[in-house]
Amino acid sequence: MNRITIYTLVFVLLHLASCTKKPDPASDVTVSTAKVNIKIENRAGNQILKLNDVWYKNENGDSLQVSVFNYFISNIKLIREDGYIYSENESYHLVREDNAATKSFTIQNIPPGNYKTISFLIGVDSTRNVSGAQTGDLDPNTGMFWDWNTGYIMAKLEGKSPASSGGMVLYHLGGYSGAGNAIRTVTFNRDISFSVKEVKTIHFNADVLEWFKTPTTIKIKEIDVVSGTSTKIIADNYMDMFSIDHID
Amino acid sequence: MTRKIVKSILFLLSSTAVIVACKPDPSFEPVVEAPLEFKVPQGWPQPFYNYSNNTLKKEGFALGRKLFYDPKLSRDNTVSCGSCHQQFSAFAQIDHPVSHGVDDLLGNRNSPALFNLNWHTSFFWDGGVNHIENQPIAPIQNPVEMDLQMADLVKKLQADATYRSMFKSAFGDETVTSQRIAKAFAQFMGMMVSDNAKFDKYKRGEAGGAMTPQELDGYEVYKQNCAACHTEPLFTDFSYRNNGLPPTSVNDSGRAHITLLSTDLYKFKIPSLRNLKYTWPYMHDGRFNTIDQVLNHYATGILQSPTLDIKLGSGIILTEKQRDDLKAFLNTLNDEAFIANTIFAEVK
Repeated sequence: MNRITIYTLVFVLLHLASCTKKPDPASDVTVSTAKVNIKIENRAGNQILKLNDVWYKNENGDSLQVSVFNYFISNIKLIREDGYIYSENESYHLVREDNAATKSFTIQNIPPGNYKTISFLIGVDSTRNVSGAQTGDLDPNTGMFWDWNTGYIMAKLEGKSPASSGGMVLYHLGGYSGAGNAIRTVTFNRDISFSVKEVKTIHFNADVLEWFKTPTTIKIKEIDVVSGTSTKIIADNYMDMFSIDHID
Repeated sequence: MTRKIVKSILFLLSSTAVIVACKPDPSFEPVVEAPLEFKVPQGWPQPFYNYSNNTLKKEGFALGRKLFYDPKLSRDNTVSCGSCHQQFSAFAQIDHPVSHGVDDLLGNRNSPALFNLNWHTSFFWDGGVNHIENQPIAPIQNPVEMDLQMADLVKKLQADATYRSMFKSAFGDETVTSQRIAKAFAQFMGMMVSDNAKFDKYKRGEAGGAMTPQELDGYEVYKQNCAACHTEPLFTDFSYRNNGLPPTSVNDSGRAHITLLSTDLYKFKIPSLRNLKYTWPYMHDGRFNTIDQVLNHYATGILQSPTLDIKLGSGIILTEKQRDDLKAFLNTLNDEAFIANTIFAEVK
């Protein structure tokens, strides 16, 4: 073999090696997988929530207007009847009542089958709270991040109420560990079956008035600003704010 | 000769062909990397932050360095990180109990020195920030420091052609994000390692590390009286403790501000004993100007309280000789090479 041949060989080999296309796991499975659209409607009791305009009454009978209603949904999981657990990749969704686009998103690449359970977190898991700078929905510039005491505001409710001494309601629920942990797991046992390539939509309702009841009836006169001790009380309340309206 | 030319041409052809043939996803386009290495000094523990999610690059470091000294990072373009963290002061601010923010507003706490940050598991005197990448957001957004929201900073930098090109060099495209700002800061500030004091050379057996008998006596005084909290080799154990400072009118609750626990009242993060020569005044509120004032406090000034650190119950009483020896030892922890290292200086 002369040298030129060797160089040609090296050239060909290099060329081949550099261009081996790694299969994209996502594109591989999309052929047969299903999708689910998540659509969320924020409500106040039975009514569709309207920011600023409407006075609502909480369980205690306090009047209340809502100006901000934001929360994170993360770590969405579907559990199939055979025990397989589908976990959404990079599953972080900031839902903002003032931004319709945030109230609907699509989960991809779900292997077909009969699923029995859907679960997710209200809030951002503790790991992402201690892992440094994040981006996308976890960007700290959304007003859902505490810079002086690192961590995400898992859920935020602001508004006004005559029952509050200052007229304001400021519920910022942050904290990812210990007694001040505002992360809550939401689980629905509900049959959802996906055939190959099927797309379904789960319509959730999220009721802001649930923040004020079960297990604890909140008096705005007593809690108009959430602090360390009231975090647990409110978070335990908002844990059941979600319901599945219907699936189609 | 001809063969040589043919060889060169073939080689060039092959390398060019390889580059041309593969068009990777632009978002993963590799940036030409100049190696920049973070070295763990001999005998030191592994750092908490090791760049595993943030590839160190000359361009990222340069961007962090520009950001650090740029007053654009404040609301009115008057205050940079470097305003209150000056290199000649080991990146503290000498002679300032507290520093001036925008509109000459004053905070409540002393600007801490910046070095060996990759070993820190928390930041600020109360440890409220849990990661080096999240550290810069606090002073940038603090209304009495730089008072600029991250979203506004991102817009400001995105509108600046120089920054756009620097973000491209550092991260592959011109997009400015708060995450990239944070990563660039960590590349610059994390590289600020201070490990060239006389004491370091003594430990490594290097030239210039010959300790005098007095300094060695002082080392023993340190080991018996200070090392429990100001632990080698970083000269802090990164814990929070109440060292018995009487609260001022500010009544800074310290760590309790973060944890809301009464057991954490008046606890502050243990600062390093490195570079004390350049970083006065001392304590979380900068109340002491001299090492002697600090040692007087430990001898006779400690306020008893429920959260006072158990080791300080009866203070630290030193003889005059011990005090002189200790001060001589502390002087061996000043790292002149660090404060003179031009790679950390403002680019003029």
